[in-house]
Amino acid sequence: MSLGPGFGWHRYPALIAGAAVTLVLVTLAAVSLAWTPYPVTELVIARRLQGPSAAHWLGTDQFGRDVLSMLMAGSRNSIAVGFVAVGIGLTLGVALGMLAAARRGLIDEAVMRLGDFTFAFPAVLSAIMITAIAGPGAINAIIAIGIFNIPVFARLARGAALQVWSRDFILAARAAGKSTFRITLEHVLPNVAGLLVVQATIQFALAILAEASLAYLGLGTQPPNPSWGKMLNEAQTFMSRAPLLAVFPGLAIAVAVLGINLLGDGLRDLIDPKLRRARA
Amino acid sequence: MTLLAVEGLTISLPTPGGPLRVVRDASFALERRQTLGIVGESGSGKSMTALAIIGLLPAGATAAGRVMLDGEDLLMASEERLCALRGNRIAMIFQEPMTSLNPVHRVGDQVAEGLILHRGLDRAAALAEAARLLDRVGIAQAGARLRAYPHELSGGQRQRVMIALALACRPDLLIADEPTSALDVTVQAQIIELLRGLIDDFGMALLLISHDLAVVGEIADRVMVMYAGAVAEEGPTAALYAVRAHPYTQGLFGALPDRLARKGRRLAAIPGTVPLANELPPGCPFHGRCPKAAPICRETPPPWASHAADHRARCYFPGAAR
Amino acid sequence: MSAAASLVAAEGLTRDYRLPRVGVLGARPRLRALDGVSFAMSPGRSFGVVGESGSGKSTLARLVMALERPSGGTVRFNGEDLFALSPDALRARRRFFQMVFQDPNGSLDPRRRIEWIVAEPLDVAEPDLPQADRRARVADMLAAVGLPEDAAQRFPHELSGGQRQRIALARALVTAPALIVADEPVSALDVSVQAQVLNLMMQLQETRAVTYLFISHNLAVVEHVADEVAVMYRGRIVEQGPAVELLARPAHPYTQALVDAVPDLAAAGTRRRRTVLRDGGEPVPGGCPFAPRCPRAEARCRSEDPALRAIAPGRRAACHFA
Repeated sequence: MSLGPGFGWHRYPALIAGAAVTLVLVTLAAVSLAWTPYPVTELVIARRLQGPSAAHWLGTDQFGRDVLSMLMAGSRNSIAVGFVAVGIGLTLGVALGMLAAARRGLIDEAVMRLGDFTFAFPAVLSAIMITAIAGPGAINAIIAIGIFNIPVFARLARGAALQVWSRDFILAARAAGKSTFRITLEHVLPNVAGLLVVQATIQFALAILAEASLAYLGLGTQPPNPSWGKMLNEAQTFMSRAPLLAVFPGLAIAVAVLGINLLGDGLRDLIDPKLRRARA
Repeated sequence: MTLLAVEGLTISLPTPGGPLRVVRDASFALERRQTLGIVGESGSGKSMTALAIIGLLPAGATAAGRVMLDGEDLLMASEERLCALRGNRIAMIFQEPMTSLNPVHRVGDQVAEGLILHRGLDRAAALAEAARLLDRVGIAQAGARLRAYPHELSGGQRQRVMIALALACRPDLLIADEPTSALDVTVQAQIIELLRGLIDDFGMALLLISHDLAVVGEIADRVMVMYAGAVAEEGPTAALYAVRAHPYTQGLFGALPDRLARKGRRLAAIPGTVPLANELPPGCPFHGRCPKAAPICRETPPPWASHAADHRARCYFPGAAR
Repeated sequence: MSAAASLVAAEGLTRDYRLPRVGVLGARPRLRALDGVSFAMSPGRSFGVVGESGSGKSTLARLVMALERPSGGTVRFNGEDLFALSPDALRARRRFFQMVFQDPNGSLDPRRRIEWIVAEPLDVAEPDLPQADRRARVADMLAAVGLPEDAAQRFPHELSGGQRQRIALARALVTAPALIVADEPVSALDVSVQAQVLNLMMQLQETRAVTYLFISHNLAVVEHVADEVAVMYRGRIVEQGPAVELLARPAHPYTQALVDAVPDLAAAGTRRRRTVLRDGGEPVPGGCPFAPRCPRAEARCRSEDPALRAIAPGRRAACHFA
């Protein structure tokens, strides 16, 4: 089967569902740049901690801000953290992992020990260190989370790449005279891509949660800018009075993570010729 | 009394496209002290047949027909009953001795385990018996080797340990699935000699499964040739190897490079490939590749044709080769 | 045969591998996988290498393919020392020697279509080839190995094992090489398919005048394919000569044991007894490497390492008694 005419999208329910959820999220984030039902910086103490109503579909928070507007605006930060942090980790980590697997020897040792070194510090701790040096803020939080993602991807990419390097088709490519770099691009990367995509979706979810922790510590997104993680953390204080306040950002995170994971699984199946035929 | 009698064994595997019949209507019998060789290529159903006998078919697979061990139908037996039989009255050895032994346990403990479990020996007695068994299967300094880990042994030694493990409870039936295929020729010869000696000493029956006609010919008293899930020919080894009544059997022999097939002469390869179980043609499963195929072969599966009292082939046009 | 007339001439090839450290600070022991191997291959003929696992035959294949550097010795291809060439010059020569591997599952990239796989050597050999010409070359090769044209758009997993090995041959032949190194090319295939691939390889040799370095553990296959045979044991050639003659009248005790270990189809069902080579300990340094397993070993064999010497015209053996 080919990706040409007659490609059966109905065979990829996970891909469709994941792509749909992701599309809705991105759209909401984009719309929030121009319009939200209420301004997110508008504090109206008189209407604080209201339940859902016709005026405020998802209710209001402890400062009387509209929760729906906050979620929409917060999605920008959360999605940005996810994409950029995973992007940093994926790009640099995979490059390092590929290099380590292709060169072996000292370079391999150096890359892996560097990874161990980074792993030795918990993500949040290293993020605190980075933001302590560079100052708090969403951008620095993203960079901190991204740096923590590098060894995760480096390790995974290296392990998977080493397996691919031991296969005979690599030997055949070398016998054909292909360079290490070209073999990495043409054989190794395509064969580890599925694994990386799945890991990327997992890291995406973790990045959103890490941003929440940082925001809670005051090191992530700065007030008055909202983020889902921050909303979730702030809602804890009002758990007994307004439980719904925690439910909505929690639900948003859960739906986003689920959607991205489905997208990842779907993409993995899509790029694997074997799975493609198994479904045909 | 016949030790093992398999009647009309049919095995189906579940697939998204519906159940797949990977073994169809296989019948054979095995007496004590006898060796039956099952020969076939990949997809012939030979390994599935073995797994059905020992009750280790993959999850979801179903077996119909009867597998009688001393008059007891194993297909009807409970999992509990099968557990009591497995490793005790029926034992099995596999192709790859490295993956069949647990890498984190000493080989002595692995051989002793079955003795403790099935024969109620205490650990010391079981280890002493394990040493005797390792010695019997030809492992030098067996007492000291009890403490070795599988990775410390060579491939041939590991297969010897596997055989000792299988023999621990003096099984009535030993099933060996490609026991020498992963081994070097000189080691393969050692294992063949060992298996021959053990059959004589222990009086067990051996069901030997292999793709290798030559290996089977070395040990088996009777041979059954399977093709695409069905039995094609069955008979005494010497007669079957000499007569080759089924065209598929003839094809298998013709495809072998042997001392007579001189350099430059083309081998008589069987054209095409084994049909997949979900694409089986009606009629005889071999007709698409058979030089003797006639219209009737494409319509109705052939009946058994007897060549001698104990030698038969499933073919409309059976005949001696050459 | 003079070195000038040979396509490949190996001289004193040695390859050491460094094993993992013993303990944290221990030394890294060396394993000599190949120990001073010399031979020459005439163009247009087949040179067979027989040996068991660990004999160094696959290491030899990689060195001849210049996929690894030897620890000592040279490989001359058409008179040029491959390891003295610059990386670019070596890359330019690679189109003249290609390789076929044992496992057709592992030797084809599962993510690529057949067309891409077969054309891969052209990426380096003829990078400026227009797309249409590449297509045509692939179609030619598929026809040459007996595969339908529409196979080009398939993925490896959609083909059978025999078809995949045909693809591997097509890829190896696409740059019109002079030499094909085939490392156990039919060992993973069913008997009937094995014969198809062997026939194809011999037909391709006749039509395209390729030279094969054919490596196998299977004596019958090597005897069928090869003109000249080298028998390897523990990293050395222990015997070499014309295939038919060498296997009919082996001079080295190890070759004798190998030949004797092959099950004999003609004797099937007779339970022929034969000499079985025992496992031996480590050879004594300075002595013959085969002495611990050799049925003819004497005191001299443990103290004096026999050199590979001419024993008859065209035949060499490394044994004091040959």
